[in-house]
Amino acid sequence: MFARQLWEAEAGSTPIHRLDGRIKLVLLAVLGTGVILIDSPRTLFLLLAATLAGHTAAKTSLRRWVLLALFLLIAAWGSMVSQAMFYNQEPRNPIACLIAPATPILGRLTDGVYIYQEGLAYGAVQAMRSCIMLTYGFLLCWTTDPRELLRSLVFWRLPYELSFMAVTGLRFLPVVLSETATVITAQRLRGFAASKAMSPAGAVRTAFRTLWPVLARSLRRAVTLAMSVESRGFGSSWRMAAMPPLTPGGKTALAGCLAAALLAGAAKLLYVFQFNGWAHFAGCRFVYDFARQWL
Amino acid sequence: MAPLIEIDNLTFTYGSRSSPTIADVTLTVDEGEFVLITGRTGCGKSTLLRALNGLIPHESGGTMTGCVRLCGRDTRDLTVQELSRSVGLVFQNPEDQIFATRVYDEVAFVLENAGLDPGLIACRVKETLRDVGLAGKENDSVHTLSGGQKQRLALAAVLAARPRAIVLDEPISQVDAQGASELLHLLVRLNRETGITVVVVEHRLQEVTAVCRRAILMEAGRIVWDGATADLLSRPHILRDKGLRLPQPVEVCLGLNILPPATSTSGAVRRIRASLPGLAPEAIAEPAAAATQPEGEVLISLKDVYFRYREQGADVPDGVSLTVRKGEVVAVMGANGAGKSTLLQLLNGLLAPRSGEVRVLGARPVAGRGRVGQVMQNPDLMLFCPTVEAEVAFGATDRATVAPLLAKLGLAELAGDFPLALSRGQRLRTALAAVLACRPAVLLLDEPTTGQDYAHIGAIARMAGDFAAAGGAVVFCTHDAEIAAGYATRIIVMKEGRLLLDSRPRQVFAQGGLLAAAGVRPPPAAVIGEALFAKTLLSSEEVIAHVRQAIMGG
Repeated sequence: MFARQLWEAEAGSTPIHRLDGRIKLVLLAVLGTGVILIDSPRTLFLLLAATLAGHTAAKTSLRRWVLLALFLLIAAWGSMVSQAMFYNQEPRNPIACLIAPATPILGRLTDGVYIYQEGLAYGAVQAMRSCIMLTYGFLLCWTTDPRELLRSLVFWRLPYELSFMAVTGLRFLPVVLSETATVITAQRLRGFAASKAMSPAGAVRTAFRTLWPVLARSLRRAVTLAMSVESRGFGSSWRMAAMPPLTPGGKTALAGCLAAALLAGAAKLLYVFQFNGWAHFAGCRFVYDFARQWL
Repeated sequence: MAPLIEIDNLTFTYGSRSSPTIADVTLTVDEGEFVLITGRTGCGKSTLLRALNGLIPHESGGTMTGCVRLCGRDTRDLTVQELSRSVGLVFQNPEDQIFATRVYDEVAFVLENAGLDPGLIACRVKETLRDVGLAGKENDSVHTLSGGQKQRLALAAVLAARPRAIVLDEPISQVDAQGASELLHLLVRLNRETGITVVVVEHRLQEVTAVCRRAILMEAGRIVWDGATADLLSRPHILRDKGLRLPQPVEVCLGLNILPPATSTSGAVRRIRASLPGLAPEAIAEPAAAATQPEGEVLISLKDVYFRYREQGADVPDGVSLTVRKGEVVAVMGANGAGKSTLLQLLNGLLAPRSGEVRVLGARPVAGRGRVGQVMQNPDLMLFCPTVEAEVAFGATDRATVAPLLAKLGLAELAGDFPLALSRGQRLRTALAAVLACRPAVLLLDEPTTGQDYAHIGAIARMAGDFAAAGGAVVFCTHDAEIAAGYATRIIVMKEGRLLLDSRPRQVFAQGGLLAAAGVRPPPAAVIGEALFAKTLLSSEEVIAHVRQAIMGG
């Protein structure tokens, strides 16, 4: 979990590794928009399966699969449990009662806590949305060199400062995690047992004791890295001449990806117009059917 | 021809400070020079370097007066990006500056930023990697490189832009002897063959004075010496006054009134032979016998210890057996990856052996319990309390020991300060005090001298010696042969997880062949002693005494 190599991008020769960073970013944007607009569980499931297939194609190591699975489980569990308990739309059918309304104090305070069937289903959809983005996010970070990511972000006109901050954050996450582990080790060596600090005050104290050294070291590192990158010519006057043009294959993939996204977006829009009774085009019946079933 | 770098009355004050970090600095550096900038920690060397490539004033947010001109142009009128094509800056720790994950990408970064054609970039990357000895590693992950290779990659990442000057901030402080030697030879070759100007900031004068023709000495933000390196070395009092370690060959020459002193061991041997033709090695008595092996209580015992990080990996340590007794100061030496740090982690209980037995005070070590104290290589990661006093008091077995300990380590006046805001030397001493306050029986130090100037190294070594003399045992990892020779009672040399040598310093440094195989360099005094008298001498004083004795004998 704290091993630096587990989090950092790894050089590789798989098609996913070779895929241009600019296309990966477009895919990220398309997926991000898609998971918000798409309501169909089956399409969301297919997208999740596709992103997981991406990891298979990228030959993600077993340790990374375990890490990914852990994150997916936490995201799915959190989303499903919270939605199942706090679902407030109608109809809603309770399938289990966690706290009966007659329970002293808690029951009165909460009017009872139930697990709702509809909430569970809605939570599952939400969980798939989170999992798709998590899975793709990991795939992007594990298979894209930070330098390429930076150039790609700048290529897509994200402001230099924002691009640099985003990529530096990614670059530093593994380092921070690895140094957090070292700090915990140092604390153990000095006889400090985190398990003894289980009280709220103790937990806050422990958090600060871990945070200070990690923060101080991270700041020092960040300053050095920023100076190193600046003094290698990277800055707001950065020129994009060195960004090679997309290969014909890349262009095709990009065009295909954008076309599919645009078509899906248009179909969804038409469906929303039809569903709300704002506009109906008889010739678009197959589009409405497709959108209802898949989007 | 105009100088490459002209600094005129430069004064710079960081935004957070009230006094200037560098004051009234005036100097010029001509094209093709190889310049050393040295001085005590915190004297302003690194700040001066940053002024050379425009990070000061463009990116530092302080106040600058005076001016820095590069090729006749004021750095204020150029951006850092423009300056990056003329001056490349390499930082102390390659881990902090390497940005990419693939060797090729790291080197290509500066070229892409300059807007070069991709074809040209590929050629330039290949050439640069060949120049720094990393040819064929284009597609390697940066994580697979050794410390020395990473430092050369960091150098390649700025060299690829073909700057007219490269400035390096303590480039050899993080690498072992082999890595340091390779990097310095590379710089010399580049300077000679391409005419590139090299400016190096470094404490380790032993290695760098042999290659730098000009030396600049700084103190409290000002230049107190600027001249030929040989001239500076002829005035040892200047270096000693500034807390710097004189290279042993120089010390030996000066001790024998041989001027100008030689900076290399071979040069010192030649000069001594030429100046003192009456040397009579046969008349020399053996060095005084060292004290007998301590017979004190065994504090540490390792028996056939094997450990591996991965099931398929190699064992490091690989069948190690040893004992450490009360009163011993044991230096563990070896190239990066030899297993030194793993050995310490087995001793402090962070790792458990795959097979074999580790015992400290007769029991299996458990991290944080028992009586093993460790100071890590990076003390920052050990400090977590709001004040120095709280840090030392944390875990102290007796609160009454805190104040004397603070005083002993020169921290009394800093007792109320935030530990992480102190200087590097002060942070290390705070970590050491915090560990000593727990009254450990065994003290482990992981590379305690890295990045420290000589004054701090001496303080740490004396503290370790006192600790051992009081009935403890000290085990420390180091690349510094002079420190090991000067302060250890015993040296262990490891190679690929195995104990190659385990004996007193004199016996260990007599094994030139085995040391070379393990990537360990003996101290220069040992090399000079071997060449002149076929004897292993450990310090400049011993060499001087031998030469004098030989002259009298002859």
